[in-house]
Amino acid sequence: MRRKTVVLIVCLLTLVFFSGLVHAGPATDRIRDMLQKVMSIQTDPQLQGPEQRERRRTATKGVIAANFDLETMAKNALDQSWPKLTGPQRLEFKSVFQDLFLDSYTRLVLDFLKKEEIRYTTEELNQGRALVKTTIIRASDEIQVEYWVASVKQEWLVQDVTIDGVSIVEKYKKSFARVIAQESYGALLQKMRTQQKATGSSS
Amino acid sequence: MNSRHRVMEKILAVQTNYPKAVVLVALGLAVLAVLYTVMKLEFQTNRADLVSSDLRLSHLSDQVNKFGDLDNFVVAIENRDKERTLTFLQALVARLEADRKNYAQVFYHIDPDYFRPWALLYLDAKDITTITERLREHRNFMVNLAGSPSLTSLFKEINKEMASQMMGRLFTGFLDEPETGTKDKPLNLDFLINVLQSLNKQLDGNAAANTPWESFLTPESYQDKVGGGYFWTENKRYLLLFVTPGKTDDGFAKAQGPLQALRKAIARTQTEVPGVPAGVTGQEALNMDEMSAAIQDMGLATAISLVALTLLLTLAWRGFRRPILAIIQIVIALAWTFGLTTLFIGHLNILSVSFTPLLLGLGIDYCIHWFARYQEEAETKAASRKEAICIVMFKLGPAILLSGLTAALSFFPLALTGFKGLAELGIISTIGMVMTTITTLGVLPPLALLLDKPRRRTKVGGVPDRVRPLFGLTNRRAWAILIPSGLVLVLAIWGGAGVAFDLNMLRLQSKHAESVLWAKKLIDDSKQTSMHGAVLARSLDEVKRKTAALAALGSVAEARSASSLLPRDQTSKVALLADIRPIIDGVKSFRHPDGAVDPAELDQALGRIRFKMVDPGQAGAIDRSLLGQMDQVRDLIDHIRQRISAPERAKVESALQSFQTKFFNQLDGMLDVLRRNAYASPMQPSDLPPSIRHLFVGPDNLYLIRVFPALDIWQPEMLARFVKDLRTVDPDAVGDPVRLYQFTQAFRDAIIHASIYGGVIIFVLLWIIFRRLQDTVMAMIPFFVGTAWTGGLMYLFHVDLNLANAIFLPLVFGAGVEYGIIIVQRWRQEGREAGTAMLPVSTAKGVIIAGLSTTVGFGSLIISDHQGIYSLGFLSMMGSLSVLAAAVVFLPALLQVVVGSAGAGVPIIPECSEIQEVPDKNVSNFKSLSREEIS
Repeated sequence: MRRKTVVLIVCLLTLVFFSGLVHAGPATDRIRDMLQKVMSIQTDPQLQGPEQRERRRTATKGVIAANFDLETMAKNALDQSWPKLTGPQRLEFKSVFQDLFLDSYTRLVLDFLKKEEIRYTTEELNQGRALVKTTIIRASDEIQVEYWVASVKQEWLVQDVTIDGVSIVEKYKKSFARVIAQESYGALLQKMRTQQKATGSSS
Repeated sequence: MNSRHRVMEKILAVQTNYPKAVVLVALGLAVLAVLYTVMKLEFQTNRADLVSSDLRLSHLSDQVNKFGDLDNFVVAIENRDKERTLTFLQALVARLEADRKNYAQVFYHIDPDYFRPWALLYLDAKDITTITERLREHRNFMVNLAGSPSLTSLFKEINKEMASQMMGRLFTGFLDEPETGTKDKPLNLDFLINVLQSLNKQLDGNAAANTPWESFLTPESYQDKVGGGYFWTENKRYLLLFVTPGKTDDGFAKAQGPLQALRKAIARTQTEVPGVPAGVTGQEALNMDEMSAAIQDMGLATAISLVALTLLLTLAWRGFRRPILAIIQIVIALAWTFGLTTLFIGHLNILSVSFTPLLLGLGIDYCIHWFARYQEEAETKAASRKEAICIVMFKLGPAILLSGLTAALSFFPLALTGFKGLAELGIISTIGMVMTTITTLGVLPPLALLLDKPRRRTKVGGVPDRVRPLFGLTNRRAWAILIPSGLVLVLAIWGGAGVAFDLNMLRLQSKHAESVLWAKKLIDDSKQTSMHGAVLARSLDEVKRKTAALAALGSVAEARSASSLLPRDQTSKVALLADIRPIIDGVKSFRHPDGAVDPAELDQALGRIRFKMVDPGQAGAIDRSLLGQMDQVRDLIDHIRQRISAPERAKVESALQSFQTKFFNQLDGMLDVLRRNAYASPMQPSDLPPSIRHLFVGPDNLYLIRVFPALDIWQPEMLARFVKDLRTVDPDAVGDPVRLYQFTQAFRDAIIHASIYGGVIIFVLLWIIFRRLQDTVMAMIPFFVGTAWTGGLMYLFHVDLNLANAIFLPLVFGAGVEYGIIIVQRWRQEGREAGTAMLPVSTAKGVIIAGLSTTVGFGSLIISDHQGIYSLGFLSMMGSLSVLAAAVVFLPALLQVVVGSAGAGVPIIPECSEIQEVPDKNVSNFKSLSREEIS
């Protein structure tokens, strides 16, 4: 009898301890909300077909812009070069970065996301940031997507996304650092501006 | 009585007193000569043997010959299906390698593994850099995979790499623009597709399925570059096999053994592996086929010549006896000529092998003239055989002797040309003409004495036959002949000026010889020729310098040397490869992959990859080809997943396990190649496989550069350009094209020079003997006019002079001058005796039969399949008939107009007119012959 009691207590304690992790907290809610909005756009019968792609793109971009902490992402992407920039330079960089990221992420969503079954596996809290782990399930295929979410101005915003272990911000970091090392910050900004112009004209 | 007369009398005495002995000695010598010839005479098939060995280039060629050669026999296998072609090759090679008696070397493959330590040095610097970048980019992939070498880990790592690449392209791809030089290739799923296909094959039960590491590591497959080590033509249309025959010192017939055996081996292999066309070519095969066809054709031409001559003479003499005597005499002359050729020269070459029918055609002329006059004396003058023989020998003997001498002299200048092949033909033909003259004057009289039975004839129309003219010639009739003939002559000279000297040797080859057919196929379909220039160098630096200079020439397709076989820019590439060291150092071996493959885990890893394959309906801006690849990946993964979920779990696990083992062992092999290349030193000529090295590196630090033409060097002008270009880099360049160029030029020059020398020598000789310019010119008229008419006919029939039929020029000297001497001599004799200038029918008959016999002798060559020999026969027929027409029609008319009866009574050759007694004291009626009767 005593033994059964001990086992029960341990189970309860364990449940209490891990409840913070498995609990679908505000960060997960935010992600779920974002993904549902995006998928509703993708599956909206009135927005189907290639001719509606532009409308889907605009709507999706709006959802993404509202859910990502683009300022922090820009800062993190530039990493060690960020402190070296002047105030106006930072503003300029953020502006360009924001356009490019939104365009790229929107394309990712438009090309890969359909009406998916998404399993929200865990939410880990760590120093004001939350890691929301999800698995997108499509028939017998699945892919793991993790969202780093932070509370910014009382709002949970996404600061990075890792897909199958590959971080978007890390990708930016490595590529930006390479261009700055091989050429210069100016060259990087020039390329970003060129791309901004190209995506703007294409849209 | 002068000394010449006394000699003639003594010869006649021996011939008439001991005819059997003379004939037996002649026959005995002929038998000995034939036996000696059969035992000792050789055949030289190599065209290089035709050029003088004294030349410096021949010495250089000897040095080149010390290097290995691959173009003895070349077996070309037409590639319609790669696997069948290789199966055929393997079967044929096995058969040939088992026959060590016939083949010294069978060369068909170079093991690509030999080059593995330097494999990456053969790539461009740009490709090495690309590989290095890829390795750097995928280092984590390799390290992670080496940490857990299993099939599931592989797909997990591939998935990760794909995710990284896809996100990189989506978010930061714009940074990899071309000007940064870091642009990645578009997302390429080739490697993944190859792995999935291989795995699929394995699961389908194909244990030989290969793994695709090459395409992962090399931008352009190295295996494709080396062609698996086989010798494919550049367009892969033919697979080549090089066969070196075993050495035979037993003459041409036995040397042909390996070629015949090779063709049989191919035929047998074709029954085992049907539907694979294959044939033998190569320089040695071409030479042998050419010589074989020439010998075969010459044998047949000689037989036809003999039969045709016999028939002609039988018809002309209305009986078999004299043709048989003539043939016996000419066969004795031929036997003696063969014997002396064997004694003094020892061999026949592709040119001199043609002397037999020519000698038959030309040599029998003297016999014909002899019998024509003999018939006249024995049958119409009713002289006894001995009397007739004596008269013929005294009256015609000097003319025959002079004709024989001029014919010999028409050939002899060939011996002075410095062109070995022609020089030998010149010597042999000179010997032949001397021998036929000797047998005509030495053996024919005793043969006639022993075996001939002359028939007595009555007078025709009251005029003895001997003075009956061929046709009555008045000045008016003569002009009626001369004016149209002269017009034709002018036209012929005009037309003949347009006849060219064609130096293209391919047009001389036998059309149907297998080696020729396959050589043409290789040239037409693959621009492949085994003919190449050869340039020697004394150091590797010189090799590099000359190879680069040669490769830069517009007329050169490829300069192959020890340096060109080595990787280029090795120093800089070795430095580039050193950059790989830090990337692969520390990567663990893949040789022992983890244990069993868990199908469920593998299924999950594949599912993650499949997830990334975009649905075409959702593609957006994704490249079409990438979408196609994604579609393929989806299908392959579906198939694999279906297989691994099958109920036969043990079987599936076993297949997965063996694929995993093979895959990682091969990956380990590639890693080994990378390591060895990363630490490689520059490859040296000594590092080349021995089978290749000996083709380019000789003894005493001598190197050979093989230069392949970019032009059709069978065309003489292209050949001249190629050789000229070669000589700008090295004046001492040799090799097949140089030899061919030298051969054709030297041959043409030799023929032209020999013709000029022959003409001048004969003209001077006749002038010395005739002592009258007019007679000298008249004697040469048949040659001059006949040659001009022949030139006109050549123009009319679009026949050019070429390397074979140009031999006709010296030959026609002999025939033309011979007719001229006989006719002018008789014209003078008859004029002196009868008081009128005329050509008696017996002499004309002799000339006509002689002309026709020459035509038959030469004409028999048209049966040859060898185009050169055929053209010689065709042209010689035209030439002989032209010379004959000029002799019996044009010359008498000209003599009538120019000489008339004014020149009569003056013998052109000093006759044996001072004879006082017959050579044989026992011949009573001969004793009583007066000077006038003999005259």
